[in-house]
Amino acid sequence: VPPRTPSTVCVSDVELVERARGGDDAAFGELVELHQGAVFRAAIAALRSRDEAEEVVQEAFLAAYRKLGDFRGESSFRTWLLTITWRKALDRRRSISEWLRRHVTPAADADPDRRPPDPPSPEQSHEQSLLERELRLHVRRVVRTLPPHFRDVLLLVATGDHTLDEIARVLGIPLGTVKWRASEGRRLLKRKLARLGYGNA
Amino acid sequence: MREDRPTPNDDTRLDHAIDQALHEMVSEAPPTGLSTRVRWLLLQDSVRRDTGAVGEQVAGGGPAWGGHAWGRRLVPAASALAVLLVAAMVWMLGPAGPGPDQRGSESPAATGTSARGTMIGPQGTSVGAAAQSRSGAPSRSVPSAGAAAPFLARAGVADAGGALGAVGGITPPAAAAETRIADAGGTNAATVPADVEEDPRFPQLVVVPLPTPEDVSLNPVQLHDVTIADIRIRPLEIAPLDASAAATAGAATSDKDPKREERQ
Repeated sequence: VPPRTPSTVCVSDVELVERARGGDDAAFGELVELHQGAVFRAAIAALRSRDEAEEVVQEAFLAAYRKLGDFRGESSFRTWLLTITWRKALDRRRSISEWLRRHVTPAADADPDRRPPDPPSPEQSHEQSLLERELRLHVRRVVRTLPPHFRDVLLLVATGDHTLDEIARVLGIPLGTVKWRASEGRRLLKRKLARLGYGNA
Repeated sequence: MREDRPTPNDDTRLDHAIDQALHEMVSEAPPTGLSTRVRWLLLQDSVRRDTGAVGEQVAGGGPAWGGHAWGRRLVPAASALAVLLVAAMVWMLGPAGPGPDQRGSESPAATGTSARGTMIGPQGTSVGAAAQSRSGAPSRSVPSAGAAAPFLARAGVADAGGALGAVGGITPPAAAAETRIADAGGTNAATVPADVEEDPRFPQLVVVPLPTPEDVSLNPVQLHDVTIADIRIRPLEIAPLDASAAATAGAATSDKDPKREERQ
């Protein structure tokens, strides 16, 4: 009986990468399954559009597959993959057509303002729930006006998928800078919200 | 209702709202089928690279060309010219209706399945045909589907929607060991020999036979969302039946395929 494709259940990334390098495409498929969520959310953080993020994720996985031989294991596979994704997302963000598209017709698909309102929790009154929703709406709008280097860090942290150290590697900046941007971005955000009547300046 | 609205002193609530809003901005689940599409792209890339390697060898590596730059430029130019000539001929001859011998002429590569596309292997046979024809061998034969099997098997799909059947898709033993889906939706699905179905080498052989030979249309049969990981196959979408095509297909299959009749 010829050997069957080895199982990929409960296998570490390192082993999956080794298998994929050896030509086992199922192993790479497993890596796709494992990391697609984190990769997609990182792309969303950069692009704020589901469609754009989806395109970038596909490009990133394809690039990772082609460059698998270049992966030296200096960081985790996930960090390496996220770095590729981030670069591709930034390329897309910087492109002139993207700039025009964003400024001429704002992306509707990622507009959280269009989401249906969350159902109020049992402890909240309807009015309270509406007020909190309004506040979150303002926060989202203000976040969009932040300088990209602050906004990127804040959103990457908010995914909950990455450590600060991983974010530093993905963005290619020192850990201290990530921490500073996170705190400064938040301070800036609060200051802008204060102008709208929320919290202290 | 002072306590209801965040006030200048209500920093905790504000912090909470900020965290929540930021999280909402990025807490998106990946779209359904994303990994399948990625795998499909990888498959296409794999096929492209494998067949591209043959092209490079001919174009630049052989002694006839001597690896000269002009040789490498000439071959694409000649290919482009050939494509133009073929296009001109097709235009002059005019559009022809699909015939029985044209089944399988569309492949995911040929139809230009987009990155967003969910259609996998509308005519799996031609995946074999396309891959094989690029390497110079005759297409539209059972061996051609077999030759494509290694590429297909890497993605866990063999001859999805294929007209030539699982036999062609899984014949090469090396590829067969990796094959997870063979001939899903294939016209000749019912012709899978009993010995293949019972062969322990094909534990995950999935056969989705079309209901009757009369349902076989010459239009592409679309197999949606083949998910490799858990071998889930969603319902087939069968294009409207063309009466003459059905008669042809029915005659063809009834002649060749007594086993199909037995099963039905």
